[in-house]
Amino acid sequence: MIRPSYLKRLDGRNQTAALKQQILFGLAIGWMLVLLGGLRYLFVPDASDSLWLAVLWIGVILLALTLIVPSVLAWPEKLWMKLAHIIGTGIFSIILMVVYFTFFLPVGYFLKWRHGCHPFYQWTDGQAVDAEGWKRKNLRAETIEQSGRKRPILIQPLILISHFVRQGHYVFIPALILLLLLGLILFFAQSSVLAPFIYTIF
Amino acid sequence: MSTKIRILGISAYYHDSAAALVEDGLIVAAAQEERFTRIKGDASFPHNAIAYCLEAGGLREDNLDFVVFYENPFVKFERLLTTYHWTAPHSLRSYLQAFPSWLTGKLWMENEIAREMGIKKRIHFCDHHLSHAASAFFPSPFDEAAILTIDGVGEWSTTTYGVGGGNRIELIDHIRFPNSLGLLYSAFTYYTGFKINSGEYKLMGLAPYGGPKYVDLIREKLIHISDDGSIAMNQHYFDYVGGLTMTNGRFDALFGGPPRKPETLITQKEMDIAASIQVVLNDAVLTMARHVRTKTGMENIVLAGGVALNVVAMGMMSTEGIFKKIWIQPGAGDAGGSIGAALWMWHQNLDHPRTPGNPDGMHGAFLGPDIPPSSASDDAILERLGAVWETLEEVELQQRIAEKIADEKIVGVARGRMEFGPRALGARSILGDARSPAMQSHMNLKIKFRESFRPFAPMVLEEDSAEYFDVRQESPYMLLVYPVVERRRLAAAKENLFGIDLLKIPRSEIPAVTHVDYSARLQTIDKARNPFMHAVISDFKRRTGCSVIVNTSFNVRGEPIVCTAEDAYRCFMATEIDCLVLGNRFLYREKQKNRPMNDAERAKWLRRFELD
Repeated sequence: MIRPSYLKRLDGRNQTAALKQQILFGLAIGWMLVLLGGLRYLFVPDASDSLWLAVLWIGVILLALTLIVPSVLAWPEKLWMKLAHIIGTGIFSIILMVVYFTFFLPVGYFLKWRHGCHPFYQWTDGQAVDAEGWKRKNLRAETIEQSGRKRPILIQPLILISHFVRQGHYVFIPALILLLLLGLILFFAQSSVLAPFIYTIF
Repeated sequence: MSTKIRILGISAYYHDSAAALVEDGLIVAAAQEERFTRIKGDASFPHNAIAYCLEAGGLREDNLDFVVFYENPFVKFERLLTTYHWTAPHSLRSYLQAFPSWLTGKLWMENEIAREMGIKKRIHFCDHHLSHAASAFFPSPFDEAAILTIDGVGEWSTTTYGVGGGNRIELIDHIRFPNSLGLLYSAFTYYTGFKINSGEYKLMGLAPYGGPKYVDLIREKLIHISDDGSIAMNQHYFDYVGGLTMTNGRFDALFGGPPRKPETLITQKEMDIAASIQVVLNDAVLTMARHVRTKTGMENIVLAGGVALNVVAMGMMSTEGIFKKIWIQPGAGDAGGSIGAALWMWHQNLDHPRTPGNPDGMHGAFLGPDIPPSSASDDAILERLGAVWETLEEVELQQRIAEKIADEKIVGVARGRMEFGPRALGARSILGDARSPAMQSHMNLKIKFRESFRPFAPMVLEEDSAEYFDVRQESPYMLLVYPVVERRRLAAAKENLFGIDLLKIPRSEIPAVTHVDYSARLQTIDKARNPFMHAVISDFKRRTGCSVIVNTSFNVRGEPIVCTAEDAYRCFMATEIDCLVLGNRFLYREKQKNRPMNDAERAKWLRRFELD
């Protein structure tokens, strides 16, 4: 079966993105090793000079490979990103848990104390009472722009926050803002070669 | 480029991803991703379906005028965030599972879709139930109609109703999460050991074997159905709000034990539960329909959403005569949201007029990739696979198919454009003789490799449908159940048979398609939508005097319906299908160069597909 041209372009984009990742990986890690090894070797003379010289050379070789045949870095880059993913998943879960216990839990208890039982909880072992029934379906009309371009990603959190404000969900907004910031950082970090370093900032 | 306006609708990331292309209001192409990736209910971004739609329209992705996603991720996120707050601390595990993918991807859907497609265009979002409503009303044959959408959950809505007229849709009221008929049915699907989002058909098929002994318990403890059809579900017994499963320990205690483990023996208990929940569902749907009739005053109704695929409830709504006519979107599940989202943009937002199609706007649901009568590329693939065939003229081919079915042979047909939606309607179908008493068991066990209790559906000439079934209207998309007429029924022996044993007794002149309660999920075949199959059944009628044949989807258990000639040939060689039609080619099983798979090879092949 002939591969449709859309899929060929998708393959092309994926290959370009992978190559870009490999080059960024080679340059970032290569320069880091060169600087680390070079500085230690030149300015901090001690017994482990040969180690720092080796680090320097590994960095130089990595940079050379990046410039000549970046595709050989495909597997190291994949392993690096896998490491980033593992670190990221662990740290992310811890941060999410902190947010949950700091905001979700107290706000949830507050809501239940303030408003009584929500429909989620209102039933016990008995028969239904005060069923919500049919509610008005209010839909906001969308403004259509004929040649609209993609909206910048940084605008989107504002749209979401304004939606929560319109719905009167003020108590959820602190958690929402925190989660949005976290999400934005991770959205950009997940495809970056610096991801393992960004994650450790947390 | 011409001045046509091209709109791509996308549904993705929940289950059964799909894409649809609408050009100047006409549905040009639509397909589900699973057909290309061969992963049942594939939820990944539908690259293959989009590629197909663009090829069908002769377009590049940057020629699209609008791209519309079938739900609003922000409102869905609002529901999740609200739910997790209200259900803390119970919701912790579900929150930790769901939020990483939301915060790093789904929340930034506009960027995600644009990045996946390599475009810089703005992505538009249509409310989930509005997508369903649009997929039901805009392609329907009605100028105006009531609209009812029922599914698990969209953003907040689980059920909506409204009115469609001309090129406008107005959704009036909705029932909100967590009160959901779809989720109630899915909870019982889970409890009876079937897979959610695909096992619902099995639960429905199992119902006639049981008795409705749990109806009172369900009504008393689990769901309250008001006179206006609105429902309230007792969350005391469910776990899906903030939890990780559908039901909880209290639900288990209510029904006397834990959920059935998948693939274990189905007992009378599961059959009784299936019968009971079907009765409750029917009652709720009919009450809702009556309310919608009163509130809207409309004569006709259109439906979509996963619950609209419950053909028993839909058949009952038709039989009750609440509305004059019913039209159900053939892709009523989430996949159909892609068509709805695109049509919503064309009619509702861009304000283009609408002329109802005749017989409707779905082109018989034949919107997928084509297997043409002849093609060099298919020939090359088939030769590589060792296929041996003869090429026939269309009329001769129709006669040959009818002849083989009349000889009780099983014929696989993969020809023309693939169907959109879960039902095979004659373009990717396996056909058999409905008069044969052994056909149901043989097809289930030797062709589909699935549970023996599952019924098969009849294809019947529309003009003869009333001869065999107590029909109230056409059913071109196999979405309505009607009973076999009394005079075609056989006097069943009054033996003491229960459960699956009921299958052993032929119940009508067409036993292969008559369920144990004399019902049949029929597909009426008309010349306008399906001229090829109409000719095949007409020829079969000339030979046998019978206008009914068996039609089941061309796949095995757990496999998506075949898409290409290659998929069809591989399935043919793995099963005991006797003959295969690929375009205008006719193939006999025994004449193939390669021998068919033996049991060990077949078992290995079947393991590729996850059990549903």
